[in-house]
Amino acid sequence: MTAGPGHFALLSSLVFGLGLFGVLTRRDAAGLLMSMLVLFTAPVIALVGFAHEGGGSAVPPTGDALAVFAVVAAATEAVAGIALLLLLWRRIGSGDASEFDDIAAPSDAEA
Amino acid sequence: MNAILFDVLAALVVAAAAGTVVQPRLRRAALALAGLALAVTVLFLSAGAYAVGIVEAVVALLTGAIAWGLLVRGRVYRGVLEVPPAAPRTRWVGGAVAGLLTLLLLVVFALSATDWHSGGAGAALVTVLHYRAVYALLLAIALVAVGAGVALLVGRTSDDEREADRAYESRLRREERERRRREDREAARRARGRREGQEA
Repeated sequence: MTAGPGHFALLSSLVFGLGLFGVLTRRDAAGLLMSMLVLFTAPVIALVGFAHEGGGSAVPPTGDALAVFAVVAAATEAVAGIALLLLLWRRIGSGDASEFDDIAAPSDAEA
Repeated sequence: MNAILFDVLAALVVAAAAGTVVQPRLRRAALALAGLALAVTVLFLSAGAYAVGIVEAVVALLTGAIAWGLLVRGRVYRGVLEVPPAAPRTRWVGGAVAGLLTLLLLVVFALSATDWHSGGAGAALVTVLHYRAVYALLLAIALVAVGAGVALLVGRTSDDEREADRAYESRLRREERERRRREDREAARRARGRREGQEA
């Protein structure tokens, strides 16, 4: 018995759901960033599954290229996210995402 | 790919993803995320996607090294990891929304089962870039360059900030030295007390 694209689709959906749950419920910025990385793993799993276990005339390098692109996009998001996290830590001295709302307060008051 | 091997790896992937998302302590969540990257890499290699597996491993290592170097080694930002876990107020709402969207995704996957690969009746997912894999790779390289540029731009520090960081770092070092000295003195006092008690 072999694992087909349906197995990869199911796994991708589960990982997507878990990542989304983390993004919606976590309030610590670093945890939020890690949940987003989990979320970004889901499409990569689906792409690899469809390209390699698809059973059609798919050309694996094309699917792989898309998967590599998704991996790189996730890593770029992570690095930019870390930079943003450090900037916010430097500005407000907190890693609690709910406190980031206060950053907009002065400009609102000015308006 | 062997179904049993897939099931084992899928269980590991789901467990690591759940650990990353649910674990309140950031250090443990980061360990779970590293486990997820490892499990996904093994899954890709087992599926025959060697290039993706290697890229996944290299990217995870590099990103992990950057995060470790900045957040763990750099004393200035260590506090980011020591934020006490906040109690999520809307866990059930998040769970319901995530569950619904996951269900929607599963329905979409089920309805488009014939379009997962080229050779199906409709538009194939892997033909998004019109079989021009090289475009995707070039775009990925451009994305890395832009991402690194944005990260450097966002994370840049002025001379004043660097000076403040150095002062903060030396203060942390001084406080740590003082704490150690205090602990040593305390331990010596306790040892002396015990010795005097035995002699008496």
